[in-house]
Amino acid sequence: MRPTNDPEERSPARDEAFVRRVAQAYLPPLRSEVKQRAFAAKVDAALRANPRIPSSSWPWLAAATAMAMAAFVLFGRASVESPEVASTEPRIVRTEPRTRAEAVSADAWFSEFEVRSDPNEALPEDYAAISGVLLGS
Amino acid sequence: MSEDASILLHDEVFVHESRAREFEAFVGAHRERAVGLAWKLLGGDGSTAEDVAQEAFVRAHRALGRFRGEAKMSTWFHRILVNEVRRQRRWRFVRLRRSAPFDEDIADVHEAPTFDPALRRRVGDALASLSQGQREAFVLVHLEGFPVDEAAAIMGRASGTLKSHLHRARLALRARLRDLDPNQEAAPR
Repeated sequence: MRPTNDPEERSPARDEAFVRRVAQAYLPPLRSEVKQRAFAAKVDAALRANPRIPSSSWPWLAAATAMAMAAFVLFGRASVESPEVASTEPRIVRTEPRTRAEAVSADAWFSEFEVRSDPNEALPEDYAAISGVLLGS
Repeated sequence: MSEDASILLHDEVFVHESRAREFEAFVGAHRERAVGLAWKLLGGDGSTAEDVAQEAFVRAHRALGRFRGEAKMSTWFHRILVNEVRRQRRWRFVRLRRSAPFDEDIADVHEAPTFDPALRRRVGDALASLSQGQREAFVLVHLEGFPVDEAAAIMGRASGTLKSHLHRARLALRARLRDLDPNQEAAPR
């Protein structure tokens, strides 16, 4: 912290007066009785809908959460590594050159790669429609 | 079940029931104050402040079984509320683009005669420019009147850290709100 040699900066009275003015200027809006009652009813309903969890349940809850997370990590990783999972992303598959002559020519170089894409993949206009929905336009 | 175990269980049930009653009374007494504190920490967003206060009450209610009574219920609850405000602020940039804070509440309320929306907005902007720790310290201690030690417990910081935050917050706010500084008025630049 930088040293405060300025006596004005260290004056508690000055601080107090300034803080009081800020507090007066920054009072929240007064809420009408109707608004207060509506909020009270909302809170009461939310509390009834979310009953308190007994203290004896907390260790069980913690254990269940830990097990769920462990299961998610294990099975999530297994599904990612599984070869059966079909990908909708276009895949580039390298094919073996048939002859040495094909391999050295430029045309053959391009033919070594074959682009396979999912016929059901979203078209650009679909992407535009989806992004429009997400952005709320 | 042995007699001792039965007595212990009975005591535990009694403690929980009394805490539940205490919490119910606390909610009734602090509902509006919680909204006001959330409003100040969120920079004047009225509807979000209500949502945050309600969520804090729900979280506290669900976690009541873990409240051991080592701290005051007020300290414990306000810590939950401050954490809820922090969570809310992380997502706030998205909400700010969708709604304009302040304006929605102004027409709906009965204001005091000295009410100045522009000044309130300037103070809100100045508070928003502070770091999270400075803003929370200033609001809890200077605007809500919590003692320094209790505010530090609510924020989960040491008292010394909170005092440092307070000092820096006052310096920053005085630089931004010079017209509210009585000494600046007395000695015009």
